[in-house]
Amino acid sequence: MSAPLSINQAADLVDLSIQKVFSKEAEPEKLYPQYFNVRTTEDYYEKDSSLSGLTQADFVDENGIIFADTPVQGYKKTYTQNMVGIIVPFTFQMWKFGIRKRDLENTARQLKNSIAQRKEKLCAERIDNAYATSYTAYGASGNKVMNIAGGDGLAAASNAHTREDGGPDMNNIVYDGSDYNLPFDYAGVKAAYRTAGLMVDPRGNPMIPDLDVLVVKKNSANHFKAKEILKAITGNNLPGSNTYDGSAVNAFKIVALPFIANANYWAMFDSSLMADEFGFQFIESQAAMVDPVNVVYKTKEIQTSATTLFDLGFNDLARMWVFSNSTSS
Amino acid sequence: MFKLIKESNETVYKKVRIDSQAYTLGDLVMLDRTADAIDVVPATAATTSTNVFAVAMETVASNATEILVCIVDASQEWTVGASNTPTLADNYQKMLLANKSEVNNTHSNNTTDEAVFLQTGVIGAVADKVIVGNILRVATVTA
Repeated sequence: MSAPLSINQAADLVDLSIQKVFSKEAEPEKLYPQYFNVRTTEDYYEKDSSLSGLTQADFVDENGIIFADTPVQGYKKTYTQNMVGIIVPFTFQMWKFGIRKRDLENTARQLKNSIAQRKEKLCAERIDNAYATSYTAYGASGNKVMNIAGGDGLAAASNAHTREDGGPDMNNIVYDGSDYNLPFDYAGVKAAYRTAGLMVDPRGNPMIPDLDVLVVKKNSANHFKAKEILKAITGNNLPGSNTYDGSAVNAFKIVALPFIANANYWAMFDSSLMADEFGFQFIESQAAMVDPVNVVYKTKEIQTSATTLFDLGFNDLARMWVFSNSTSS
Repeated sequence: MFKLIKESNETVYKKVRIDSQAYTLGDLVMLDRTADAIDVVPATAATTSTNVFAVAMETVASNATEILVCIVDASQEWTVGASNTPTLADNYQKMLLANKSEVNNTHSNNTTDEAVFLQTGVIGAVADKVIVGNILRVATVTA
């Protein structure tokens, strides 16, 4: 734990010439359920796999033998519960004369906010690191290497997602036929639709998601552009044009994330497919829980802690998400 | 600055006497063993593990004669600024201080008595130059 907050570290709290002491902290907006499938578990780890459908039926000659086909096993993914927690300690004097007297004792809210902010950050880091199979999560008590590959062992965004039946690799990086990673604009959204239009199921049958949610960094150029073209799309007008042509893409919902670091990154997905088998998963076995206050008997230090247990990740994103880092590479 | 982030024992603070000088929160202090009215002085690169004692828990002005310190013990993990770009390859190396608030991570293990910090990890981006570890405090060192 941190060393308990002492009187002189926050002397303003016991200074009677100061009438008001405000508690200042960001109240995180709970956004991750808008792009993660959230579910609960009672188990230390959850593991899922899949079984494909059958290939397409085929012609049978007169009195010929009907051909047979069997499903193909998909990829498996394990989600292991991790604990995230924090303690806030105060000296007894600081608690009595500073925190409690100034009505600042709502440490439960601060602790829950602290956990909520970390959850939002960890989820947003999956977008920031969509092109990687691992990254380093920086924490206040140490760095942790996060292995973030999907069931196929590849990054969330890849033009070589392995198809379960050994068919051609699948791509979920925004591609217009000549360039990958188009910047976000009307042409970019059309390229996203084109990319989604080539998605297939584990046996190669078309499985085209309807991209209806856009994920961007809040108040980034992409966010502004999204709001600009969405107005035209919603009115069935061609964005950036004064012709009578209509929009080729449907209106989408914007999920603007404050915790994304890469302002150029954008992604779209089909929210109707956001379930246990597709997309990002957030699996929680304990919501943020504030533990009872502990008083250290010998020093009278006041300690309050909060913990939560969850894991996040994905098995299969290649059939509902498309990503771009705007590099046109 | 040194910042306590984990401890399995009870954190113990103590008021100690200083020689009318300014200290900043997070400064490492060492014992002053001469017969005078001073208990601690700021740690330096020459501080040994037999003399390292505590970390300042308040900022005081140059006319202060007392300071509240957190006594160092073996169960604690501290974060501290490092002189050089940290690397996980340095984990479990013993290091000298650069000054009272910074550790001199030379990327090689220091075997002298002046090695008072044991790196156990790196915090944040390497450009931030912050490491985590234990302050090594012992009663005596025999040759």
